[in-house]
Amino acid sequence: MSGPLRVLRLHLLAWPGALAWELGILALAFAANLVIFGTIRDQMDSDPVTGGLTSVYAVVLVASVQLSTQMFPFALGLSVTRRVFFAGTALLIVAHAVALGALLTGLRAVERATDGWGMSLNFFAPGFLAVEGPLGQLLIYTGPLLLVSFLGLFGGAVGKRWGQSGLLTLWAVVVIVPAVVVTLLTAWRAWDEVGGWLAAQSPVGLVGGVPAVLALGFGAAAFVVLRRATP
Amino acid sequence: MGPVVTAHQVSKRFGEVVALDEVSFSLRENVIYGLLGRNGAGKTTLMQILTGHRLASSGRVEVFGEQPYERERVLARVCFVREGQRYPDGFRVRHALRAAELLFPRWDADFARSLVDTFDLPLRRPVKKLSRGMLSALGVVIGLASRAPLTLFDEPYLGLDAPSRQAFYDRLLADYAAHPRTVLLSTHLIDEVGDLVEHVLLVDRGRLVLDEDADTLRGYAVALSGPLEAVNALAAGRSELYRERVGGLSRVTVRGPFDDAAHHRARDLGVRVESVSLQQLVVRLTAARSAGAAGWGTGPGGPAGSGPPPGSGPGGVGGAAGAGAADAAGAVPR
Repeated sequence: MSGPLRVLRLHLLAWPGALAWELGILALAFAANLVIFGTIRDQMDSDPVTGGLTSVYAVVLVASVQLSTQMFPFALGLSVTRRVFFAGTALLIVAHAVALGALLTGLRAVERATDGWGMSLNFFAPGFLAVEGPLGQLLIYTGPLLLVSFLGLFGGAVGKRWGQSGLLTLWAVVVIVPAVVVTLLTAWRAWDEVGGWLAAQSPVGLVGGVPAVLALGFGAAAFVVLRRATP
Repeated sequence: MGPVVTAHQVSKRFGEVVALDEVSFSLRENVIYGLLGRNGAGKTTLMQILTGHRLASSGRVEVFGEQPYERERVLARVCFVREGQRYPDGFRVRHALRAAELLFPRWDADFARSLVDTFDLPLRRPVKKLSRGMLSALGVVIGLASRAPLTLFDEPYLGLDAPSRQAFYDRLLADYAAHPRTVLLSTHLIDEVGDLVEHVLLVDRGRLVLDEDADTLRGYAVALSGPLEAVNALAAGRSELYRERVGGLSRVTVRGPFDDAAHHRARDLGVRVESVSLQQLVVRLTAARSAGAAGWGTGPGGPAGSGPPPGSGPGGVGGAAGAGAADAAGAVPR
């Protein structure tokens, strides 16, 4: 077995626990939505809209941070190189994003077939997240999953390498960069163009493709940071 | 075959702090080395550099003939049991062992099982819930069962009780006899490993001050005690490691060898000659500048509390050969 595959298996050693968290949170959010909207359905004028799905992405983000802060030092303690660790971890992230995306695509299909669980509830594909065709739907789930995973890996790597000061700097960047972008767009009176560009994109490209490209960037950044990190 | 490890003028700086200062040594195949030194002497940093966990600021390190950083075929033959090894949340003891089995090509699962029995490790318990001693035992099991040709233990016994430590030494020796390998063991409990290690590396403030076979070290220094005049006469011409005075009696630790003729002379002068244990020797070599703050017979960790006086920078200790000689002046109580 090659090094990256061994690292992949290392990640999967305690998989029941990790999976239980992820699916447990998803099930909990879903059940809560079912109960809430089942109760208040009669008083609502429109079909229920919910952001409950975001809870899964939050769990994935936290778990990905731990890949850098916990699995990285553990694996290097077992004589794994940083390069092999990253390759095996990237494998895990991609496989996981596709698998979870497929599961959500399947659940979305059930949701449509049952007319929103019998109450017009769009839990798995609220608003513009719903597209025709399973492949596009899969990409809409998988793209953002890849993004939060590599973002978490990157954030964890920054914390691992530079500690508290690194994380504070990262936060500062997270706060400052959007502020600068908004200011510039306003100064240049470019909002109309941005709006036009956004409107011209397909939902699959915007929600699936763009995050996937960003994920690539964060993945590369995570590797660069881990490459010199001390476990 | 050449040396398993070669370090050539390895230095590591963290900002202003010099953690390692031009350290050079080599490790031979199938020898148990003791890496000794006080807290903060640079032992862990040195081990991190040898295993590619850190990069040296300058100097060269070769492990199995290659620099170890990011070198898979080197690291496949190395196991580094770190003092503060992190285990992922959610991992149980059996997961950690399974992980080691997955990643160490020479892993012996039967041996691991028997070690788990010896240390009474609960396989199903989450690693997070292990006591400090059990956590150390887990590291010891991984380090021993990995059978890595180069195995490094960084303070592997923290929290381990005396019987468990003894079990560690016994199992290490027995397995080493059947499966020889190179072991580098950093420790504070010098007297405990005195019979275990075959060669001693002593680090003090980032510098290597001693690189000797343990057998050579047994006669490395002697303590002379008796009337001041007589002791001085015997100590003349020898390098002094330490000097103390109680009433009219003096006690001076000097470098050996101390041959038969010297013993006869000591008897004639009424001077008592005692051999100096490895632990006492290390205390003398690394705590000498604290001007008598650490007395004889201090237990393990005794010297840890006696820091150097402010302003006594590094440089008192010469190379490995003349270790301690330059310290003598600073060691004389005022």
